[in-house]
Amino acid sequence: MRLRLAILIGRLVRSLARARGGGSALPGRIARILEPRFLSRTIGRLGTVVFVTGSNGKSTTTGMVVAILRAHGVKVFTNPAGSNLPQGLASAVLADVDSGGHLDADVAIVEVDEAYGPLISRELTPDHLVVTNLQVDQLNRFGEPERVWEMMNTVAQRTRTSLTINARESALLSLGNGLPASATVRTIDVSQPVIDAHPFGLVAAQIYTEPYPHQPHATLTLSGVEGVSARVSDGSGQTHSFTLPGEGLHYAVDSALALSTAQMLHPEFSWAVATAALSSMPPVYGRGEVVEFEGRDFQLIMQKNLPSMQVNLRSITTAPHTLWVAVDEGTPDPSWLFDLDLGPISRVDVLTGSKAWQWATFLAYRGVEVGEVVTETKKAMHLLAAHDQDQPVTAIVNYEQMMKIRRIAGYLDLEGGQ
Amino acid sequence: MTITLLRVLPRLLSLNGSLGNAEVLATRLRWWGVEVSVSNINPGESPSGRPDIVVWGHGTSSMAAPASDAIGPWRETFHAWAEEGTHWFGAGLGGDLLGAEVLIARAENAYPGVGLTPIRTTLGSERISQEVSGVDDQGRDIAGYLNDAAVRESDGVSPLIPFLPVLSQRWQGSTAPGGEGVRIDRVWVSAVSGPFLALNPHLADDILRSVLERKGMALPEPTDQHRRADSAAETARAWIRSRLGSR
Repeated sequence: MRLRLAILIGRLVRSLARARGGGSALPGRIARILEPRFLSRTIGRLGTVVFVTGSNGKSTTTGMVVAILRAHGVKVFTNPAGSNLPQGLASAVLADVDSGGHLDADVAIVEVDEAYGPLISRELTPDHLVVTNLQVDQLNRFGEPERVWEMMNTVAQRTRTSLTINARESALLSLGNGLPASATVRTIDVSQPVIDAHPFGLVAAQIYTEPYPHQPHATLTLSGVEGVSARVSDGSGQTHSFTLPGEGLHYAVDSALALSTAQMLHPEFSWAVATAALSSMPPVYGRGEVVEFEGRDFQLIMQKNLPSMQVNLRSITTAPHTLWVAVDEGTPDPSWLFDLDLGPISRVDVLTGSKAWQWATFLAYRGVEVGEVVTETKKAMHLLAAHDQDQPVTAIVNYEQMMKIRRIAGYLDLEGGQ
Repeated sequence: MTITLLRVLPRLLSLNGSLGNAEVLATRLRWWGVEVSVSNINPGESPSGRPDIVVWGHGTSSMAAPASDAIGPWRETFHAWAEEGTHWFGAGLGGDLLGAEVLIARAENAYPGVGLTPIRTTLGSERISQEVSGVDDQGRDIAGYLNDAAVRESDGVSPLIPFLPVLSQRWQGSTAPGGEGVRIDRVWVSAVSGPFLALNPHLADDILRSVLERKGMALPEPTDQHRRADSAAETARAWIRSRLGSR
């Protein structure tokens, strides 16, 4: 009765929220208030529940596993990219569930925020856990990666069957120590030549944890990454090639984790189907997306944290014609800037946002010339759009500024596309 | 004249831009035309040739054990350097390791520091994570981001920032309970995040003035490069103060 009521009211709120053009988390929040076991009584009924968590690459890896399984004809429940808190997950359920709480799916592949993993796993027990990586990320939120590791460990301790990780991250391997006896550690590996070819590629947080005493045999080895092309070697020594959704070793690692997970979940796994599904995935949102404003293209490069920013900066191989940096309170502590390698950047044309002057200070120490500081985003966009329209603006932005820029440019939907 | 700058355990102690403090000190000297040599010391290596400045970066709590182990054999040399005139700047855990010891509250493990300050640090208390603004002992503005989960104890030491309102409960036994950091002789320590000296260049120049005076040289007038960086830092601090509503 409680579940039916939660679904009914939740859906009603969802309809109202959608009619008003927003409020994606609210319906789920209300549903969970009305039925605190909402997640376990809906998603938990499915035969298999997979959590995908980590510092970076959660959305990408989740999307990859879903795409591979669906290409095999598997019915999958999942949550939209970034809706990885309990209320977001519950809202995703409300979109798909029938009035009795049934989801028409064989398996749930859910992206889980690393900080909310302990809470979500208390309500909904994962059968399988995929941890993409542990990086120095959001220090203002977590303080230090050790705390994130502890959260991941709490989820691992509740995982019934398997933990899938990159064997090159020793801290993730040590999560195996906390698994229940019923669960096993599964790994993918990255060959040394691939690591050597990507100096900013694997940027695992260096923390000290109790070493895992076993060395599990890798299910797959990432044996080649060139541009957006990657290949893996499977357990039988066969090599499989595919296209990545963006350039960078991190996408290749995400792909290997997704392939390994899908292979485990689907007994009739086909490499041809899987690699075709991976290769047809759209480019990842926020990394190189082009937004047009008043006749000029703005190519957006996301500034999230040091590891992802450094990787994204690698796409800048020559000094951009026009470079704009827009960063606001979505990046509360930009101290890590001083760890950045700016590559060929020798001039920033415009600095914008409430952190503009901290960027200006940093750039002064790097000898990088700054054209103007225009703290207001819209004003900066007008200024930039008024010049050199045949050349794109390369824009280094944090997530909040990216959303703002998209809104100002008239891109009304939140997550990509027009 | 060459100023020598040593970075201690940069692979363990470099969290969140904190080695930017070494970059700031070196760059400000170079803008004055002073030659600077920057080197690192890593676990198992032997310290040699007394540096003018030693910079310690910040690290996560699990770095306390390996860092403490690594500096154990260097303690005597570091004390000799301190007596002979070396200057020290420590950020976060690096600053704590310049003190007497670092304790991990939950594990109840204690890791010896160098002992150049009498501070005892306990990691693992409630975390403060926010922008901060205060004043130093000369009334100069200080601002930055504090991301700290430590309680530090010592009597009779002078805080680097005597008044940082957010910290009124955190500094036990100090003469200035709202203070942050330490300034003892030629040792500067702060838990304020990352490139603290970039945002607060007057503190960088305090260190450099002292270093240059020992070489018989006065701190030169700021160059255009200093003025550009310091003007940006001043505006950045003003934005922080404005966000905090402290003025």
